[in-house]
Amino acid sequence: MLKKIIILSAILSIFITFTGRGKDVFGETSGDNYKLYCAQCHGLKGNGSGINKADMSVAPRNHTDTIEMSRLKDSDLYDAIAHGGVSVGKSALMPPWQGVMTDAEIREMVAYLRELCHCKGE
Amino acid sequence: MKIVKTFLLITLFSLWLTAPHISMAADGKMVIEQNRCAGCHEMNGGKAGTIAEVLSKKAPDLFYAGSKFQEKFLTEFLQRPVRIRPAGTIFLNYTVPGTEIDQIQEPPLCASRLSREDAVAAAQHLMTLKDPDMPTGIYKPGAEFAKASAKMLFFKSGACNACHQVDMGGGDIKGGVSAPTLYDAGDRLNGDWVLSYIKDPQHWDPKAWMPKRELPDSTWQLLTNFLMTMKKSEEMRKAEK
Ligand code: HEC
Ligand code: HEC
Ligand code: HEC
Repeated sequence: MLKKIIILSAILSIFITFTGRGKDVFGETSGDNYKLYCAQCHGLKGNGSGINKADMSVAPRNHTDTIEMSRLKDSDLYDAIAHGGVSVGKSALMPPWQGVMTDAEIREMVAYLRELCHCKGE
Repeated sequence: MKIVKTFLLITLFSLWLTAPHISMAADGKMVIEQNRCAGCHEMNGGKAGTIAEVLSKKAPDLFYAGSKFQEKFLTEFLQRPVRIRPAGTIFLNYTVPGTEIDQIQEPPLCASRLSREDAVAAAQHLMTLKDPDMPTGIYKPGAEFAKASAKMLFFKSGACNACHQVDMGGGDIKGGVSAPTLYDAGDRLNGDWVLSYIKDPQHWDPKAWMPKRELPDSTWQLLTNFLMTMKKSEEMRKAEK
């Protein structure tokens, strides 16, 4: 009996992992969202060297720069991502992502940026 | 009697087998099947809904090609494809980290090399692949519009050139490389589709890495009018030959 339950729950958990992964139920990971939406300008490594940088008049922020990034509050990061650079007095080259990422995904992205910079906000 | 019947059946069957090849040598649907376009392109409407699905895409979706493109562009492109996406269909698949700037590694061009006759037929077929829900007749070719405001939107507040290349004049190509070039948008795309796409890119491609903005319809129409004036310059056409 116990054996049966263990086997059944193992099968169930495998099923849940594979069907749920990457779908709406769990959403995308912030690392994957960063690659898809941010890396084109901020770089695959987050160091500000994305492929679009060459012809841009304002350089994309280096998200691995501990000193620069610790000057920004979490709420600034949130606003910049959700409403674009203009909302925090920065360049319009930084676009708004509110229409593309959910509120939860933007919050997770703020946490992810804190991992990239190994820093906290002021 | 039985032999005659079998013989008749075989003849009919072989006629049925060969007939389409003779009478419809330039059937566009068949050209597309024979050239295995579907080996790279999604032809049946399966939109990539997750990042994993995006990364597995080899080429752009074609199941709404009839809504998106101008037939004349398709006919030329299918004979001699040119680069549309400087960093490939999915830039993440062709980009590696760099110190100053990330590096793009030789993304492939479209593999189509059709004869003129086949290209005409294939383009005709692609033009039948339409999204019936897309509003049409909204973009008015040649209509007057405020070009200075449109430029402000495109280059300043919308910063569209951060990701898209445009012609700054006389073939001086500038702009981002993670998205399709727009310097020939007016030669390539259907105005009504452009309007629909820029308003809501994720309706067409749920994981498109283009921001979606809430702006009034008049703003989108202004931008569409501006985009549709973008045509390949003489200089660029010469350089391609
Ligand atoms: C089209 C290019 C582009 C894309 C795509 C982009 N950014 Fe930016 N971002 C910029 C630029 C340019 C700046 C610098 C703005 C300035 O310093 O005035 C910037 C600045 C920032 C800042 C700092 C804002 C501040 O207050 O200094 C954050 C945070 C940020 N981006 C996060 C993101 C995230 C997260 C994504 C992906 C969801 C993203 N960016 C996508 C171009 C881009
Ligand atoms: C080996 C893969 C491959 C095959 C086979 C292939 N293509 Fe392509 N095609 C591509 C790639 C990659 C692109 C994107 C090129 C770019 O953006 O620069 C593309 C682009 C296109 C485009 C432009 C799409 C857009 O949204 O910009 C059309 C139209 C097209 N192909 C039609 C065809 C047709 C029709 C066939 C068959 C006759 C075909 N292709 C066969 C790889 C392929
Ligand atoms: C952060 C990058 C980014 C920005 C900023 C951006 N786009 Fe895009 N754009 C994209 C991507 C990615 C696609 C679709 C890629 C694909 O289909 O391969 C796209 C597609 C398009 C297309 C369709 C082109 C085609 O041939 O498929 C048009 C038109 C367009 N964008 C116009 C605009 C306009 C107008 C703006 C400014 C309001 C803008 N874009 C801002 C990334 C961007």
